[in-house]
Amino acid sequence: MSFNWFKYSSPASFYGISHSIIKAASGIAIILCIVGLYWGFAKTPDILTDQKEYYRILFIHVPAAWMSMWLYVTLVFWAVTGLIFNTRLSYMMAAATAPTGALFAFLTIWTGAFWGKTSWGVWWDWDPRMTSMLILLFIYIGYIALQNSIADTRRADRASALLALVGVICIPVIYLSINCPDPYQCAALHQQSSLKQIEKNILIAMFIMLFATWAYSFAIITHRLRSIILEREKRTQWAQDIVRDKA
Amino acid sequence: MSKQLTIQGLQCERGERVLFSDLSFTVEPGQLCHLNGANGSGKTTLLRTIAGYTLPYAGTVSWNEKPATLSNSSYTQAYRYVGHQNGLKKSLNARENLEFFQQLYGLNASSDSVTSALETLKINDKSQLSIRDLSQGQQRKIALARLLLGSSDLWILDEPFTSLDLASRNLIENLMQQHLHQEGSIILTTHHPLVNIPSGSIHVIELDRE
Amino acid sequence: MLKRDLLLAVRNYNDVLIGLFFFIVVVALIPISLNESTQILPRLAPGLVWIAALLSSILSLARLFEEDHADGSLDLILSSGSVYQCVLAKVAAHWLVTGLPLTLISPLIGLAYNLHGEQLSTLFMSLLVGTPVLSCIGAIGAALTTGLRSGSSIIALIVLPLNIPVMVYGAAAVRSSINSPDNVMTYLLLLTAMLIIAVVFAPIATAAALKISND
Repeated sequence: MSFNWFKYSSPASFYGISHSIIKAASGIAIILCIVGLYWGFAKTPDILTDQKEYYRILFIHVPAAWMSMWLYVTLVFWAVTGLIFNTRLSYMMAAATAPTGALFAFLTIWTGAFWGKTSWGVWWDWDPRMTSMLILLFIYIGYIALQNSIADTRRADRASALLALVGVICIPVIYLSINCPDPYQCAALHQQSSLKQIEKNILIAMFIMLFATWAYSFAIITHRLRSIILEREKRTQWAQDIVRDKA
Repeated sequence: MSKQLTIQGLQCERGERVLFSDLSFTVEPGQLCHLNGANGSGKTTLLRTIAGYTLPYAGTVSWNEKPATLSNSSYTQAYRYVGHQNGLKKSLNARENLEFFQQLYGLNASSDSVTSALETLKINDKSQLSIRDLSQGQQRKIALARLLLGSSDLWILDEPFTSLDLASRNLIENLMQQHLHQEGSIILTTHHPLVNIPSGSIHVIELDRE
Repeated sequence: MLKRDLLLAVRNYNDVLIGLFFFIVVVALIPISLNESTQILPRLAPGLVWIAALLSSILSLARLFEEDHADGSLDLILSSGSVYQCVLAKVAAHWLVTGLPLTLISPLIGLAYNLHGEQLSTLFMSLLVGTPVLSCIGAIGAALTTGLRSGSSIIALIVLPLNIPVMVYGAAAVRSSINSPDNVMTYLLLLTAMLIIAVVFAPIATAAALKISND
């Protein structure tokens, strides 16, 4: 029995199945978001150690932070796949992932600022983790800027893929340099975030929200991918057929 | 071993426009392949694809039945490419430029072979002047002098006769003729008629699609 | 090959001086704009000098491969067997005309920032080891943006975040020479490690980027 792994790597066949993916993923995202927020507001204690109700921003903050990092990993995965197998769809995947990743990095910083103001009394502190997130945002922006500034699609894809790859090699060093400006004594992070110490319901709500953001990313990236596919394949018969059918 | 250039099912695009597709032909040793086509028909892109600079969207280019890409060093050493741009540094003189090319081609730095290349092209008296101070035609001749450094099997020439006078054109054609005699092959684009080369060894490829 | 690039750079000596004076002007502007007493300057010096070095390196990067791309010699370099050496020579030449002059003048800048003795030599050493890394990493950005109209502004966006570690440890070396001189060597060794890695791997990435940009 043979299964053609590359079948869905053609934009045309992917486009065909993408609509149902978007429907399913956005449905899951909405349900999980409602459940997660309900759980987060109704089932969790009002006070977390010394913080009052406002700690609940973590139900957005933490999933957003995780997703922004995870999306960079997937972006690099698609970029490298594109460079190795020269599959157009992989490049399009990478291009579609970047804005969502950047959005989550921004959301992390934004919600973090609110949380910081309420619990530390400042909007921003040059704490290592905040700085890392800021730099991740910079790297996303550099990727998007490079992609957009190259007119030739193929060159844009390959150049930004290479940049993403270089970025992923540099990230550990950047992370280290920010966390340990003094190698003898690594800076204390945010606070030790040990998942075990966190109250069970908070954890449940947080993970539900994590899956909600994941499903959201899946839906929105697939949606963006559809637009990119149509734009790039506009010369082909099947793309023209789709546009004509819609009109 | 046959030093044959094979193009198979090649498709190239520029800015979302298909220049040509499903293009196949071969260039045998001793053969000159003349690419014909209007402006914008993809002649330069085809030459750059053959030289490995531009990746094809479909199809393959092969040399001795091996893929002709930039990572195939036995291929990149076998050809000499003279493109639209001369590839010369304006602030260096002819000799310095050619000595740099010798290094690039992996040849031993030898001022004798540079001198003989310049003499063949009748430009040796200008070898100490900065490229900046030479005329367009003289610059073109120095770029073409690359063809005479070391030995090569395939010449890839993009409008080699641009800004050359009649005498220089004849000179270059004679060099091409010699190269073909020594079982070398040439692929070129030009708007000038090739007068000195026997039509039996010329193979014309039309790039214009109807 | 290095000789050729140096020759080219020397015949365009203007560029060397522009980079150097840019560095000096930036470093001089900061105390003027702060209008602070000289007491605070030693504490600011490490970060400021390093930021100025970073900016001055990026200023000249945009043109690293631009001329080769425009005159067609990039084609010849890419199809030669010595792409790696050519890229390395380019990077070395870039450092020799931007990073090195700036390093050589840094003790004077240090004096103007009220540093002395050991601190001056640390500043010098950190720039000596760190600025080549800036050139190596910068070359990747330069190669990716070669031939683009908006190249020079994009380069900064791409290269600055990647250079953060060099800047952090370079500045930390100088800072610790003021506070805890025992740690200086650690930072210099960290910078050296980065230099070795950058010299080995950055030209590979740069060559790959040039192939993409020359398509």
